[in-house]
Order: sequence, then structure tokens, then C-alpha cells
Amino acid sequence: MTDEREKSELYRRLTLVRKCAEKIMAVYLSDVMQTPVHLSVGQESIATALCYCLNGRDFKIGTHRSHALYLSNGGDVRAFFAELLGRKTGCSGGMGGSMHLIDTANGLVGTTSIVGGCLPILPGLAMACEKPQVAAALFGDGACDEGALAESLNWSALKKLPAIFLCENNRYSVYTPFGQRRAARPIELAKAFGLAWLDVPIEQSSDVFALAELLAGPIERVRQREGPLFVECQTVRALDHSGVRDDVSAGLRPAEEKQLFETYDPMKVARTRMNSAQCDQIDAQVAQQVELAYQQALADEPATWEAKL
Amino acid sequence: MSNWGTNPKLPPLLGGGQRSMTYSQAIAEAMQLALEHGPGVRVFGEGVTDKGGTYGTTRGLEERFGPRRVFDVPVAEGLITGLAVGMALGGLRPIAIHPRNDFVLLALDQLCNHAAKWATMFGGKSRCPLVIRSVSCRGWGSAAQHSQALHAMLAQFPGLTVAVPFTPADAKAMLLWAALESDGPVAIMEHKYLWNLSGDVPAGLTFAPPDGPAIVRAGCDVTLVGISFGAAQAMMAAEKLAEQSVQAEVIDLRWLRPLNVRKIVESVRKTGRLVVVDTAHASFGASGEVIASVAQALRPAEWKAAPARVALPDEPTPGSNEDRYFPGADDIVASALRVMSE
Repeated sequence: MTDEREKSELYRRLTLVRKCAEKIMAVYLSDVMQTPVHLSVGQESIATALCYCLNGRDFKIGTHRSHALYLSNGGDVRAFFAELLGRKTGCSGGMGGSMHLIDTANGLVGTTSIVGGCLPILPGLAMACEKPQVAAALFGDGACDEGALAESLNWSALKKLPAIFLCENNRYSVYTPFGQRRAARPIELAKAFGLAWLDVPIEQSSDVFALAELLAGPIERVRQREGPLFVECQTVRALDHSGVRDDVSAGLRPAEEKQLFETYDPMKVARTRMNSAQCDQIDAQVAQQVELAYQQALADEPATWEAKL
Repeated sequence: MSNWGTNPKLPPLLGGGQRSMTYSQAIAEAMQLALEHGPGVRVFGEGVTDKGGTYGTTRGLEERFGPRRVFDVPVAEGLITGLAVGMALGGLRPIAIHPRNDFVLLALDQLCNHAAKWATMFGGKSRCPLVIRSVSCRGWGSAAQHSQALHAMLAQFPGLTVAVPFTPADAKAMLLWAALESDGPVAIMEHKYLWNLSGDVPAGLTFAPPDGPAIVRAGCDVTLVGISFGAAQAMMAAEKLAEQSVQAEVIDLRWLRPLNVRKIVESVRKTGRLVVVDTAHASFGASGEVIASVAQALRPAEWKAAPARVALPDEPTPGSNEDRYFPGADDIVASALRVMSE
């Protein structure tokens, strides 16, 4: 990617996701946010590149780990923090929490915390699409352990649906490694059903500019109704499955995972592709935006629940 | 009662009318009207476009409305129900059909974890209007996995509306309300034993929102509440009770969720006696829920006898000896007479 304006926009979105995660990390242990958070640190480039290739009319659905999807898709930052803080102004009215984010104005129809739950919903969304609209789901390798993946791939391929399956393969289902759960990678199932596919190594998936470029063409072909697309991005989860702690240091995953993050941190990778003064400027702007949004959300009225019956 | 097969001919329980048709014809009419009047309506399920056409209720719809709106699917109930959720979130009005309600057990994640909770999880900023039609079957040695009636299990989940239509008029109007007017997910639990029941069905678009039970036969001695085919059995029992000078009031429950027992409470206040007839197991079922809800609304002195329920034994359905397993009108009569004798 060479266009400087496009690059700075991508970098801005990536930074927004990271800065929001850092804000959560800074306050979470005080219990001000009483909701289980599943951070995307280490994986942000994937949602960011995907959303960059989609528009506000396209449907998106995500999982419990969807902060990056919501934010890089243009979701309101104050409504994001307000949701995590249980405020009325939250994107889900304070009734969903961290795992249930929605932004219908920008095509995000919701996120579900049942692992694999988004998979059969995706072809349904795709069947509701009007050309050139498409539907995309962002999910992890854990979701692929569910039989729902095979059912959803089969139907999407059979009907040539405008569906984009994007698997963030961080190789861990909580702490259970890939090798203890699977005989083959998820992409092999997509190949078997005849979907178009992209197998993206971590060198490319951690580079938001390279990934956006890589996804653009295949997504355009989905738009042109050439059939569904399956993308498997290798990635690394920097933190614990849930919460803000470092599970590698706690001995729950091997030390190589931390090394992998040090090498392929999407923020670091992006900075090597950008002018550092420009990066610093965007960093400062985004940090200010995040802090303001958080303080506004904190001051917002708490959501209240009343029995209706 | 001998084995009724899978499709019994029922006596004329509902009387004649201007426009008499069977339960299955009423459903077929509703399907057609839903597709005609709802441009977003989609109809799909296992066997929807085959020659059988979901026991005759979807026959000819694909030819008339095209394969984009009416289509067959793989045997993948989670997918089928997930498609409905996705379509609903995408602005369509899906009707997904599970021709055996036993198969709904494979679809519970999408139905109960997703559809039922969607509006609440997103603070009312999203709606998930979809219809799940499922058919409870039995008879002809259908055995344990093809003879269940799972309505109470679904009614356990807030966010789902659960219909148990008994009359052909309701079978049509509940389906049309669910398909065209409801703003959330509706499970319509049809019963194959009602398939040939005839009744008056008003023409055109008719809508039945969840507005509580209906009195289908007036009486003053004992209140019989029927759920789905249980209402038909209660009607048959009421005939027999009348021969013994016992006037039973028969109430068709119609909706499990939301459950509205006002009319039942009024009836029991008059009769002092209650027997609930269900097509499912007694334990943890709808019959117990109805009795508890009515009991909470009445003073102990208003009861002339302890309430009773007639439902399936607490064992899976055997593949033979069905007449010994399934309770019939005679069992309801016996239960009502026991209640009368207290």
C-alpha cells in the first residue's frame, strides 16, 4: 500500500483499537468495568484490514472478542466505553457488556459470545444482502471446532453466497493449544467445500497495510457474486483469553507466544511502514480522543433494569 | 383406543362454519398469504419443496413464489435456524420449518442462545423476528425420538413466544401474526394429530397476537385446560362427561409464552376444579406451570378439589403399546371424575 492518506487512516484505526485496549488495561483491575473483556491485543490488524475493505452497508457479525471489529468499523468510542461501564449510553444500552457490541448504522449486526454462534448466522445475513452488499464474520479458531462451520461453509458454497468467513487463528482455545483439538487447519474444510480461500501467514496478517491490500481483491470478487471467501489469518494473542493479565508470564501458555507477539505486534509492524513523526501525531490525537470518550462515558448515567412483567 | 396411525381422523369437535377447512389446510393458506403479503418472507426447511411439502403445508409454494423465497435445505438444524436469525437481522421475515419437533433439539443454540436473547442483549436496538414452525408427531410406532412434544422446554426461554394452536383458525392466524407482525422470534408448535381437524377459518389476512386462552366449550362443573392436541382430547372427554351429567368447561391454552391464565382463573373460580391435559411429559412441563399459575391467583377456599394433570408418563415413548402409553379421552374422563368425587 502506497497511498499515504489510506495508510494514515489504517494506522489511525489500528491505533484506536490498541489505545482503547490500553485504557481498559489501565482501569480494569479497579473493577470499574464489571464485564468480562476479551482483548484483541496482537490481533488488531485483522479486524482493521477487514473493515477497511468493507463499507457501512455491509453486514458484519463477531464474537466475544470483538472490540477491534466494533472500533475499526467506525463504532462510536464513547458508546463503546459506556457499554463496558454499564451506562445507558452504551451501544447496547448497557445491557450487553463487552461481548455484545452493536452498531447497526455501520452494518455491525451484533456480536455473540457462544463460540461458533456467528457461523450459521453469516449465511443468513448473506442471503439478506442485495448486490453489491456482502456479509462478513470474524471469529477465532475455537469457533472452527464447532460443527456449525462445516454446515455454514457447505451452504454458503452451494448457494454461492456473498459471505466472507475470516478466521483469526491464534492457535489457542483459552489455553488449549491447536494440536490438542484439531487434525487439520480450518482452511482445509473451506477448500474441501470449494470456497475461494486465502491462507495468510503471520508475517502478512500482522501488517495491516499488506493485509488490507491482500483482502481487497478477493472481497471485491465476493461483491461481484463469484461465491464465498474463507480467510485464515495466523496471529498471536498477547494477553489472557479473558481479562487484562499476561497469561504467558503466569505459565498458562508457552513463552514462545510472548516472543511471537514481540516480533509481530501489529502496532510495531505498522510503525516500520510509516513516517514516525506522523505516527506520533496520530498516536497523540487518538490518545486524546480515547481519554475524552472514556471520561464522557464514565460520567454518563448508569443503565437501569426493571422487570417488565 | 387402538393405534391411530400418524394422521387420525378426528370427530367434528369444532362444529361447522361458513368456511370449514382442516388444520393443515389452514396452515397452507397462512403460508401462501404470508408470502403474498410479506415481501421479506422466506420459507425453508427439510423437504419444503419435495412432493410431500411439509405434510402438504408448503406444496406448490416454490413454483408460485420462486426458489429465492421458498427453498429446501440440508439436514442441518443449527444452520437452518442460524439462517433464520441472520435473515431476520438482515431485514427479512424468515419462516424456518422443522418437520419433526424432535429435531429442534439440534437447533437450540440458535433459537435459545441467539434469537431469544438478541433484542435484550443489544438493549432493544436490534430485533430478531423469525418464525420456527415445528410439528409434534406420534403414532404408528414412531417411538422415542419421533413422538415428543417439546413446547414447555422452549417456553422456558424469555424472549421466545411459544404458540400451541389447536383450532384451524388459530393455526392460520397465529402463523400470520408471527410471520408478518411479531417483532421477535415465535415458535409455533403444531401437532400432527390435529392435521385433519376441521373448523371454521375466516378468509383473508387474519392475525392472532398472543392474547391468552380461549373457552371452546362452556361448562360449570370442572375446568379442562387443553394444550395443543390435548384440547382436542379435552373436547372429546367433555362429550363423554356430559353423558354422565358432568358439564366440563374446556379451555384451549393457545399460548405457552406469554402465559396468561386470567380466563382459566375465572373458570376455576366458578367450577372449583381443574384438570390440565398436555401432550408432553407431566414433570417439569406446561401442565404443572398452568396449575401453579392458577393456584397462585386463587385462595385455597376457592378450590373444591386438588388440581390434576393428564400428560405423558415420565418415560420415553415406547415403539409399541402406544395405546397403553398415551393417555386418551377416557383417562381425562377418569381424572375429571376423580376430581369431581373429592
